[in-house]
Amino acid sequence: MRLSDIAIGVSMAMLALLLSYLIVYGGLGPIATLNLRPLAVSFLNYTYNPWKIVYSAMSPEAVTAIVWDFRGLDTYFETSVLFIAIVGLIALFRGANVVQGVSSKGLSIIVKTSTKLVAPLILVAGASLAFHGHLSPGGGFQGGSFMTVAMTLLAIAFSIEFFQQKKLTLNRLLAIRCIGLLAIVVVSVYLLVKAVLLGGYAYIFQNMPRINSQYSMPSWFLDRPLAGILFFFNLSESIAVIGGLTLGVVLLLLREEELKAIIGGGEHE
Amino acid sequence: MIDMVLASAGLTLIAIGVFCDFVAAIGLIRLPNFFTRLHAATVGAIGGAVVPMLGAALLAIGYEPLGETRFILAGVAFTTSIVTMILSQAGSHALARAAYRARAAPLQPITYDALAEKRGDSSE
Repeated sequence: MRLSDIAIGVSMAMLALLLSYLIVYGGLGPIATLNLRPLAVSFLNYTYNPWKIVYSAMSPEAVTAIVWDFRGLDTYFETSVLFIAIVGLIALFRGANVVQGVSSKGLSIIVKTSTKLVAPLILVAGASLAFHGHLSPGGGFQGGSFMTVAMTLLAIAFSIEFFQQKKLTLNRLLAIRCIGLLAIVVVSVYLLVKAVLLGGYAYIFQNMPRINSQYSMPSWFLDRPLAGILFFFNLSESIAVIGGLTLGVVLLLLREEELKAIIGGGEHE
Repeated sequence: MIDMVLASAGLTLIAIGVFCDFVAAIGLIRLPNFFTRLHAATVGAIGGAVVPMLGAALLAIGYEPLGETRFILAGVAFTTSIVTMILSQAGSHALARAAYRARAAPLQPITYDALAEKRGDSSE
């Protein structure tokens, strides 16, 4: 017993020493050379290239350009998978509803006060992560998940009846989710509809003008790159994710009194 | 001169943080029950995370070669320390309250239980 404690302590100290040695001396690796690999060159050429807009996504953030421009359809199917999972959860909890005044009035006043202070900060940080997804690391899904953390904090500290009092019912959350998904669909076919109405060619998930299509989403907002479709996708994806994930959290937090009517069990007793 | 002062103040705060972390580590092992160990963990969170982050902010402001970046670093460190200070006490309070009300942790080495008296509960 005594010996094992000493062994654990010594090994933890060795681990800390090893990690600090790695970080200080070369664990971060040598500085990269100026010679880029061909893959990096192609990404740099195709993500933000104001001189050849027909080959470019006009987004300074390469990952967002890949996720929503180069493989936009794939990302849409990923979003749909999450939506189908939420739909399964709703089908499982069909007819459930948050009942007022069951048991809890939330956690104590200390937790409520600090949640009041911190939840708006988390919401703002998540929103900036989502709306700046085309300029800095982040994106719609990440920002939406970030904001869901604030909603979960609110749901736990103030109890889920708080959402009901603020008119944020389960149906409204589902509606928010559907509005987000619908906005993604509308944005992805917007240029195609425009081309059908005005003549000419366009593609679904088209962002900047292409070789045989002059239609384009706006690429600049005042003096900042907007990256057209990427900004709108990030916006609607974050709305969809905050609606869907908050709905899932609220459903999983339902109390026994609310679930008795749905899960049943009455006929076996 | 001023950067020297800032650097020594920052290093002092980080040294206080190391001391608090050390005390917290010992307390987590040696203290007798859940609530006192939670106290040790909070010493680690406030003294061992908030104070050294403030020290890191001072250190970053005082380090000239970083240029403009040092204000960003200092701001991020300052904000993180404030948010940690708000949240860690709330978290440990919620843990202690839940453990007390659910009777999940033994109260045993106890001298005075004000909550039991307040609720008219004399089981402990």
